[in-house]
Amino acid sequence: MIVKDVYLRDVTSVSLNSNIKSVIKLFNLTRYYALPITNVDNEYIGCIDISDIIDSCVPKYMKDLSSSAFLPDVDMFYNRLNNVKDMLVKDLIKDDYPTLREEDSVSYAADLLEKFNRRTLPVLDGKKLLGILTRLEIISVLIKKESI
Amino acid sequence: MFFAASIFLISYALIMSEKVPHTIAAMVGGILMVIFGVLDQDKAIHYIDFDTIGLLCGMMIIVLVLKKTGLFQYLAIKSVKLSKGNPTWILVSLAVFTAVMSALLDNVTTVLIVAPITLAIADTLSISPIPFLVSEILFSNIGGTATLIGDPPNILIGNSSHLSFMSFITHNLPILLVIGVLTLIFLRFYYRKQLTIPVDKEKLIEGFDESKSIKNYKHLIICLIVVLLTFTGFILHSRFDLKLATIALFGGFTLLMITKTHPEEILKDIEWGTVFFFVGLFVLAGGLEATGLIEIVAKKMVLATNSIKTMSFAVLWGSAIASSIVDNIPFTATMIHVINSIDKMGIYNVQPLWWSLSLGACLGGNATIVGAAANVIVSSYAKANNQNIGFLNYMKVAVPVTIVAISLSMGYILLVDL
Repeated sequence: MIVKDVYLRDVTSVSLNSNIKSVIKLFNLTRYYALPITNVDNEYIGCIDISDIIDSCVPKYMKDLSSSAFLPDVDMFYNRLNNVKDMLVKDLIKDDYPTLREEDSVSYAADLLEKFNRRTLPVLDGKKLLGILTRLEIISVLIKKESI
Repeated sequence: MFFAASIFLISYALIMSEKVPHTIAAMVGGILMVIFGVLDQDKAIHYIDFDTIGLLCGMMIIVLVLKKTGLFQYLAIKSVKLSKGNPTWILVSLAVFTAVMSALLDNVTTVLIVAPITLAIADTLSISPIPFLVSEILFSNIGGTATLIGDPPNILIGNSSHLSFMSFITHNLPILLVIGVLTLIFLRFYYRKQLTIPVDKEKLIEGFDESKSIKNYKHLIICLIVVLLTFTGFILHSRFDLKLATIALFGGFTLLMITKTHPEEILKDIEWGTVFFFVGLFVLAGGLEATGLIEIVAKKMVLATNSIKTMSFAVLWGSAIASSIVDNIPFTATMIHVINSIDKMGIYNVQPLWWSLSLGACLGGNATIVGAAANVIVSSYAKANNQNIGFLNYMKVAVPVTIVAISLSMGYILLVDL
């Protein structure tokens, strides 16, 4: 089975100059965990993942503590999220986001999702965005096969 | 002799320039000593001080297992809570915690544990972490000087000089306590404007819950018993004629056995770069000794200084200045051969020279941000968390502290050893 058989033909995307608050709204609307970023010519540039936003709100030192459970709750996360909300997508974009082509195998896609610890991957034809593949689409094939 | 001196100098230049990772520079230099026939392989291996390597590896295993229990974090938070939110006392408690931990563990491990906690506390209390981080650098080096296992130069000196574990504590601790108290008074004065907490944040320190750091109490108690026995072994090692490496490795592997930890899980995290750096340095310095160059330097030193007093002060200040500019480990590894060579001449009792080297090399590392591994780690860690200690800003605090520390050490050596 290949990616072409399972991916979502949804090309909802954001631009580099979209602010994080509007991106969070779009995440809520679509319920996806990552959204592709495109330019004015609809060419794929990268992806913004919910985990990248959360990551930018967690200070580095916290990741180096053996446990941060001892810290009192002073709403540190929301204070930081408040600071991040007006930032632009281009401030948080990561250039190593993995991508798929229609002819890639589903096994390869599953492996890529796991290796990069992502929930959503964009499907491309060259620079053209064709849609996205999520973890749910991959495992839902089983149900779709049974219903046929 | 020409080949040995050239290989040695080029390797040391590469280590100092940091153009090549220091482990690679030391290992390639050491191997070239064998390739060019300065040493044969058997002799090269003979020069590797396996007491030091074993002690390093044993301690690394103990620290790695202990780190997983959350004990260090628990102790750090507990000591900070004693301050009741007073920033001066937070500074004192973190400094004392760092010094004690550095004396018992290595400096790098200590600052890697204490720096994230410091940033978390400063962030929660909305205060600048810089005074605390600077004091932690200074006290990691001061604390490390107190024991044989606290700082790499001391490990090297301890294993070569046959000075016991306890002799480091009884000799170095009194003067380090004086240096520590004076340093704290100076830091309090220097950072007086930054050591204030917004009134509404003072109570937050009570909200820190150290008990949440411990994941498994049973596991922790077992670890503590083994660690206690290991340190008792360190204290009594000379009585039982056991090497520190034997005790440290026994403690480390017993911990792995009792906690049922898979060895691969811990052994992969051993700082192999540091271990091979030491191996390379031992062979490099050994090559220099085998050619007789070390003996020539030792003779020249004896002739130039004329007395053990002058020589001790030269070693103290020389090693302090060298350690503030370059890595103190290669410097100490070479100086050890020089002191051993002077010892063989039988003119002087070289004990004051060992203490001069220990105090000079360990405390000298405080003077600049590149003087010791702990300094570099804290400053780059601060930068990664958007806090800049700054090379010159650090020196404004550290140079006076180091000059006072070395001057006091000089008086102390004069009083106690000469």
